[in-house]
Amino acid sequence: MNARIRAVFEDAGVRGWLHAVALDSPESTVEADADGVVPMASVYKLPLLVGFCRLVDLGEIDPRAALTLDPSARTAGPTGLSTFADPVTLSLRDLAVSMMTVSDNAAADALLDLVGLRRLRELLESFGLRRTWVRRGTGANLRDLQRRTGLDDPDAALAVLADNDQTDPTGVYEAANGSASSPRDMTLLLRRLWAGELLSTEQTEFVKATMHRQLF
Amino acid sequence: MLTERHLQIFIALAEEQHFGDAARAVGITQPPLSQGLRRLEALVGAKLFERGQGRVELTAAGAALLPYARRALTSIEELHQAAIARDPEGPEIRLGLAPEVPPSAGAAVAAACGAAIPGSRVTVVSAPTSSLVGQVSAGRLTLAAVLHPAVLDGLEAGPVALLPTWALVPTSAVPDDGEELKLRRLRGLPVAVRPRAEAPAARDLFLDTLALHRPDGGTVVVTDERAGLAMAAAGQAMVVTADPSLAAPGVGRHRLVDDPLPVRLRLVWSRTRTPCLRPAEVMSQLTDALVTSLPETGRTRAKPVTS
Repeated sequence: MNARIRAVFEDAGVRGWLHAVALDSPESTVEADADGVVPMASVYKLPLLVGFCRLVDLGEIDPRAALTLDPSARTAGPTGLSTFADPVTLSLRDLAVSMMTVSDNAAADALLDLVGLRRLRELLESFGLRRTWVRRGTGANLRDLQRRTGLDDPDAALAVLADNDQTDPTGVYEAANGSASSPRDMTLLLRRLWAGELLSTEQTEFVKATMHRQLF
Repeated sequence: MLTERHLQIFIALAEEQHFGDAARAVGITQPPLSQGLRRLEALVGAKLFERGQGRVELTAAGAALLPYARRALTSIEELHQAAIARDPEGPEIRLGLAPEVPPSAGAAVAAACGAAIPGSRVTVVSAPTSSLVGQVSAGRLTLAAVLHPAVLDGLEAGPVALLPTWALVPTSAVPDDGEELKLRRLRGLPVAVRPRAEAPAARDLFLDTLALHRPDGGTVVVTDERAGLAMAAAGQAMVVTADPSLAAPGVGRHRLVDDPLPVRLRLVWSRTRTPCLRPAEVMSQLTDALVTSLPETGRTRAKPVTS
């Protein structure tokens, strides 16, 4: 199995790290370098969602509280609130839905601000995640990329990453520089979440329902 | 005891102003870097950096001591170089070349290796990109010129060198007038390509670009350019090559408008296995050698590394 997985990665021209586990029999796993710590990109939205829901359970956050996001302060992105022209007011739980269902960068950064990096770190530790670090959101990632490319325009900075004729700026894909996790840590999070070990029944159901509605 | 590693950490942190980047520059992970810095600060009895939110800045003491650290590290490097120069055998440089590297460009890189590291013995092998990357990782090769993009998995790599290509086209399809051609005009003629497994990512980029410019015509897999050229001579295929010397009767040589299918090459090496190479300077010299060996260098599009 392992050789077959590696062959698929090789054929696709990628380096891959994988961990899959059956929810009803945790000893059945498929893995390839499952403990490698790699940059998380948009996957950071998952631990953020679980952290947010834990704060709802703890009574620290009211999921129905309204938040207004102004276009000038919103993180850019191809989907969701990131694409809107005008100020948007919505509840925090709807913000979470937009973050997960369409990988909305603006919604995710707003939630991350609300939860706070330090609080989220404590929560992830309490979930038993030892190799997961949410160090910043998408907006901060983009600013880091702009700094590394020396380009003020976010689109121009992203274009550097997509350019086949240039090397990627040093460090943009370094796990130590941004939010990072290991495949095994992410399946642990999902497994504990699905088992109802991390959140109340109500919040567990909210997370599951939201994830079922993911468009991609 | 103050070590070379302490000096490298001090200088890398001063230059990168970032723990992750500095660790990468030194070739270690972040925890030993932080530990090394604390040890160095204890040894010199002064705080060298202010650690802020994601940023690292030199303190006044750090700024005052930095020039001494630079001088000390330079001296140590000179000691290494002198030791290598005195070795009667000289260091061995095992160079790998992907088959897409034109013979003249490969020769120029090998010659530049010899010139960059005086007294070195250079040996050369040719192999597909995927094989070369594995051999450099395993330490069987010192460095290699491979197709870009490729999965490098922890290897160091120089800037991307773009070599312009020609289309070698049967004269039965297009007169041998040396005219620049649009790829679209060459519809219906399969392009000879090497097996995909040799460099999957670069091959897919080639095919995607080809499909953008020329939706039909397809490809035919050949073992090497010799076979491709023979198929072109037989009127069965065209060859896209960066090699200025490949030629046969019945096959015309044409530039393609906007050079849509350049050969992208990078030099790769292993930081941990080639301490004798001082990569930063040597590698940019060698990359230059790849590009400037070819005629019409004004047409290449080598871009500087963005960092």
